[in-house]
Amino acid sequence: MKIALVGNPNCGKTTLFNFLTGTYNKTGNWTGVTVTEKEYQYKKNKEITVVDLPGIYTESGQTADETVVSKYLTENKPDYIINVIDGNVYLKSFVLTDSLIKYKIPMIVAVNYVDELDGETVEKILGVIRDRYDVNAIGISAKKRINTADLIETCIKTAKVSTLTKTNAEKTERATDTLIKEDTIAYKRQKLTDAIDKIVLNKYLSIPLLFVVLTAVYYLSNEIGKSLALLIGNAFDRLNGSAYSFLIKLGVGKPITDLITDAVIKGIGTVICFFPQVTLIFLFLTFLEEVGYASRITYLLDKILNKIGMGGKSVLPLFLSCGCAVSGILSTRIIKSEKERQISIYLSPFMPCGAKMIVFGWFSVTLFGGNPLIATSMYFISVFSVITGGLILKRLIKEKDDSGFIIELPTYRLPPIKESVAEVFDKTKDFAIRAGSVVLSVSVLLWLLSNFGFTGYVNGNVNASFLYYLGNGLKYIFYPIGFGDWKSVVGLLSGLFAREGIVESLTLLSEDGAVFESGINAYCFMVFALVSPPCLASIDVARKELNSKKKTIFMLIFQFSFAYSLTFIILHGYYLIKYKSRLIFSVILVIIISTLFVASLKRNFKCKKCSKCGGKKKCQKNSKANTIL
Amino acid sequence: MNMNLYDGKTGEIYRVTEISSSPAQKQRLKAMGLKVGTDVEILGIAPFMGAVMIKAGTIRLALRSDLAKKIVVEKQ
Repeated sequence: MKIALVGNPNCGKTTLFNFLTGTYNKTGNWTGVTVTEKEYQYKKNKEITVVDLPGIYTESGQTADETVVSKYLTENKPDYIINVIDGNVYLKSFVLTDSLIKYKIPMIVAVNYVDELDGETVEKILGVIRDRYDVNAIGISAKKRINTADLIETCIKTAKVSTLTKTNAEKTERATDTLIKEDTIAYKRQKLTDAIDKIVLNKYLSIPLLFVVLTAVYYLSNEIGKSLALLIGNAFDRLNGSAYSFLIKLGVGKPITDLITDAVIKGIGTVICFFPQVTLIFLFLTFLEEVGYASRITYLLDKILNKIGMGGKSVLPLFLSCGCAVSGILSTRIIKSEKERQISIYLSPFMPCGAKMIVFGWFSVTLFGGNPLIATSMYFISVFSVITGGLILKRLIKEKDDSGFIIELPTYRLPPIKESVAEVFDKTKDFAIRAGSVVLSVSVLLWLLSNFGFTGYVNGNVNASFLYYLGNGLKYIFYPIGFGDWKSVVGLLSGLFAREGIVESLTLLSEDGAVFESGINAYCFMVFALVSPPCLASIDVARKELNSKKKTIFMLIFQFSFAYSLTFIILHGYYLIKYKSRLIFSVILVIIISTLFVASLKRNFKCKKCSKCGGKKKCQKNSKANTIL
Repeated sequence: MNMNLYDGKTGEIYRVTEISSSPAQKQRLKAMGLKVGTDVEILGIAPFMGAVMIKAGTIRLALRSDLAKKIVVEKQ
């Protein structure tokens, strides 16, 4: 027997689902994002399956979520529906409830958050629903466990097919209108939300406050994460040492011992080092989501991000990508507009993720004497790249964009602690499995490539390994952008598997880190590592999210050529300043690039078909003329 | 007096008289509790002339300026 939970986003459906099934076994999705249905057994009776469907406002099939719901209800025909409604904003959920009737599935309505409303209001709401739909309505609180213990039993006993008639609908609409006018809905929480919004969304305070919040989240997760990672790293180094001597003592051959210590244990260590940071980022983000501040961020930043082809919600993937592009790309699911979603996926990898910061930290310590400006400048380059990339992509991508921008700003709430912690735990587990398997296989593959050559096991002589030939073959591509050495190419290759691999292979290949001719070459390498196509794990996630081979290839070409051009400009701009002799070459180059750039920007503004206005930027007749001609 | 929602003043209450957006957007608005006849209070406008935040009943919504301009309202 199947019972489906259907409701608006933020109605507390997932909390209820977790309670009913007794699992916290959620997929690695973000709050409000259940992209496919989730089925688990009811904890009290294994014969009954509870189904959690994505939160939606209507089921018109406009968004991915809506399609999932209507497809599930039509094809899988659950035996019962529990329609979950947020009692605070129950009126708007009628649109969804209305559309559920056509499926002719027995249902009951569960009004959630009754702990936030007074008893009289709850009774009125329940009365309105019973009148309107002629089905049973129960006031519940998933968070406070009110009426949740035998909800399933009540559902099976009382659910019936709703019969919404026109007279019923009109009558109840009038009743609800008076309900609102009489001010009977609990305004306590509403007033609190209004008061908080007056400060948080204040004209002058909002942006500084947002900046404080984002910085605090980033700083805390980074600093605490880093120090914990250091402890873990040290522990793994010790483990590695003792494993090595243990295996040698056992008489295991050197190649196998090396494989286990250098590739397997080191690889696992690398992943576990990420745990603290990733967990903290997930924790803060879940908190921001649950409290209701995340949607306010969207509201505040929409205008700016829209200028570079993205929406307010894109701040989430961009921000998350500072931790890891994998989670950043995953979070683009909340973006409704296809164009904005694509651009966010393409640009998220430009952010300096945790792994890239490890690389930049290593570079600035070993090659730039710990100069703090070097790593910091990467942030600026990444912001610059996102803006420029956005301006270019906004014009390149022709995707129809009709979603408009309507977001709900939820009532502020304290997050359910137990569920939030469980959610964070699951997201981290998901990340560990995803990143872990990739990093581990890469470190094994890389070890094999660098320890074996055409002559077999090379025993530390990298110059005879497969890696040497691979690097030598590819180095010419990178010569124009400042690092045409096989070692740096191998570094980049290992960075394609996982960014922190760059550090590993560069240290492996040169004891003193002397891979680069001079500082600028190393700097160019850093810039390229920052914006070139991300690690395989991210590419793989992007491929899944884009759901198109063509778009994935476009993404890779875009990111590669962007990184190549940017690095080229930086290198030759530097030469231009330092050695005037290359002046002419560089000037010609800058002119060509800027012309191309300006041309790509201007293309859209010009009205090509209408001769009357001469292709002015703001041509009034633009749209009309185009349709007539 | 008819005007569009985006030109409304913060703190004032307006009634929606016409929504001239695409049918898809109209349906979406309705699902979020905004239709012809709804009274809305303007709570504020996001920085850099961004989205307008409104309250319809107990629901808070943010609408991008281009959409808000398609919603005709009259002052209450």
